[in-house]
Amino acid sequence: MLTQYDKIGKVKPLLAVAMAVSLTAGLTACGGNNEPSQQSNGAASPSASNAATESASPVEQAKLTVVGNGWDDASMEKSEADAKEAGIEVSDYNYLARKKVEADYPNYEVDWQNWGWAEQLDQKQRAAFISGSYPDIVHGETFMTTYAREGILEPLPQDIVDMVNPNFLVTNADGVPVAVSPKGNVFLLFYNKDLLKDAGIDPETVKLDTWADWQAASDQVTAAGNGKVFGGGIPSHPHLGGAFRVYPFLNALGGSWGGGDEVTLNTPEMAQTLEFVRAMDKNFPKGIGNGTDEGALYNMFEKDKTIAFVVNGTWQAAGAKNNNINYGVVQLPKADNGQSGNVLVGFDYYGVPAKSTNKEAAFNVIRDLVAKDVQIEFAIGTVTPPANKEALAEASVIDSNPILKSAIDAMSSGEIPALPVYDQNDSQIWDVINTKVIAATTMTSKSVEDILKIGQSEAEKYLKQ
Amino acid sequence: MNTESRSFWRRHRDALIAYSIIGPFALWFLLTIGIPLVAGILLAFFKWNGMPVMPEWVGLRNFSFFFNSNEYLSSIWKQLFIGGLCLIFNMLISFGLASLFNIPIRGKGLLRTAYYLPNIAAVSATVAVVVALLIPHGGGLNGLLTKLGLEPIIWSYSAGWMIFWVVVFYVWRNTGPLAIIWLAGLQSIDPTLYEAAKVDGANRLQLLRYVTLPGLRGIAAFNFIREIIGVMQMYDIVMLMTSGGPNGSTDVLMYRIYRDGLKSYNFGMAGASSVILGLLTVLITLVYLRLFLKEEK
Repeated sequence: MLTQYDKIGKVKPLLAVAMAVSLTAGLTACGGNNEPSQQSNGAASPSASNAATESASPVEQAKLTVVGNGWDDASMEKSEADAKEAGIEVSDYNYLARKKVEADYPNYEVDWQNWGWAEQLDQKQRAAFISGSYPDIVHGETFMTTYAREGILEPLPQDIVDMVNPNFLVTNADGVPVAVSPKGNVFLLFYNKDLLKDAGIDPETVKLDTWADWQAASDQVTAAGNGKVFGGGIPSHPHLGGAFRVYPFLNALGGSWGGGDEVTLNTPEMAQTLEFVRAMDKNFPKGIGNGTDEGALYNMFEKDKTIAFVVNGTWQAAGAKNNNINYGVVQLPKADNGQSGNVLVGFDYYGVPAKSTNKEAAFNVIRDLVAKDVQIEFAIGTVTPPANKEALAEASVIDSNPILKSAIDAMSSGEIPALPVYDQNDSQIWDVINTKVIAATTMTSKSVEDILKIGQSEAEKYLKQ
Repeated sequence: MNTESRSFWRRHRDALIAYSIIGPFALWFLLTIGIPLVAGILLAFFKWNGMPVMPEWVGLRNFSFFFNSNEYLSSIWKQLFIGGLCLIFNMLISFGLASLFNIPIRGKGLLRTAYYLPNIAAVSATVAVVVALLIPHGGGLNGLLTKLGLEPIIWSYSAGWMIFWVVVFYVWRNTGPLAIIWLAGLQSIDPTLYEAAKVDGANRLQLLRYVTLPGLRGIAAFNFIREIIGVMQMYDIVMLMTSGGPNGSTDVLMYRIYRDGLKSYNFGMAGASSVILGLLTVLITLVYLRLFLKEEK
């Protein structure tokens, strides 16, 4: 009797043709930085995953292909040129990791690849899986969860799992960690102190502990702004930019949107969240909080200085600083139940395919990616929470920037959820959540009850197709 | 070479030369169009997520889901409605432009180039400009309206306005190439026909009705079929400008196919929707050709 893998082997050529055909349009449309390289496995011994827990000796030979975000030759050169122009040191995690790997493992022959980002990257990686040309390291955002669930990724060695904060890991269907992100972020509440002062609020003593506190302050700024200055609220863009910012407030109430084979939109927690989103939207100019272009909103905060509050990740710090905003930052306000919430954002997970024949060497690259020294340099340079536990606790990191401290505090306070990934029709379900639930809350006057009922029914239909 | 093979070569010489010329093109066609077409159709009968796992045969289940889903059915209508508007306006405006290009005026070469340029520019870059113009607070268009003493419009809240801008952008981008084809048709009409008609006392409208339009029938058929295919495959403008909104009002079928195939990796559903969209395109084309040929007779 044929096993599942035998059957796959028999139809592999057909699958490869079908995949190539189906992805041709996408790949050609998106273009790319580099072509996927030839398969370059073979030199290293195909070790079992448990053997990979022991670090390879620097003299060990290995030839591997690793896909990353900015460690290909062109990106390395660009990072160096940009840093030189800005008069700073390069602090990109891919750059630092490659340099460390080259120093630690001089005998590794590594093909450093960059296959783009988002759908383009996912398409290229899936095409590589189907054709059997597995890179030794793959990476990406939410689709890494799908790879994990499909059993594509090898479990991480325990020493890597122990090195990092659990919020930075992706687990497979059995709950075993299979990928790690060297960086991650959470959302914070930024505010323009000058605008608060203009509205008669003392920015140094302003209370922003609860939803009610924030709403009162934002309402006051909007009222004093006479249609020119606005308090700001929770963005409800009809894409993930809105979902990311709504989810922390739902999470504070203990709600979620499910995930896997379940979607939960029509819940009391969601209804309460959407009522708050709708109430806070009055503190945006019409069409700004729910526009397709979220840049307009952040321009109003950073450049025009006409919005007082924004919900954003630590990357907002650079924008605020570059535009000379007298800004403050706090954790997201707590719900009436006294709980705070958040969501993981900006992760770039790295994992080793189970079919890689260089697992041991590939895990060594990942070890260097989340090594303490690399992580400290990256965290301070980019004001981004690192994965490495020791780096997260390092005084030089925490004290380097108050925004980074706030984010690390939030990250270290417990388990933070990621946005869910659905087993079936993931994109169509997200479209329902983004456009027909979140954006519809602020763009229409339909009752929240009706919006949730319709959204739930439509999303369930896609999930159960 | 023996006598038999020499005689084979002599007997089939022309055919062999012909096949050797068209062979590479036929092979290229097979690889880039034939096999993808068959693979795309086959995908419609499977459930497969683009991972190295066995595709599951589901028969007509994807088609059944399509025809039992209001969202998919309404997206066909949106593709036809928005595409239809794009087609009508593009055909009319490009014809007007071609007539303008045909007048012997100074700088008409520059004019033709100017109208062709939008088609060369990247959709993503030019849509970004339109999106920036449509920003409700601080956007260029509302700034203009405010200066004129008018109330600003929240464009993104209105299905009508967003359809309007999609159509405007499509026509702006595609009218140049179509006008050039119309122009080729206009210039291929024998000028003596106009002179004869004028001698017979035809006015401008009659020249258009009895000389120009009949002379352009073949070109019109070509342009129409070209446009039908174009508008039935249009999704990039929608994706970048409206993301299918507001509230799904511009969610055309082709945009759903893109999301099903390359975002959700539901290749079965993308295949089924593509088959339906393809058949619909063929059907419209056949109906048009039938009407066209009937009139020809």
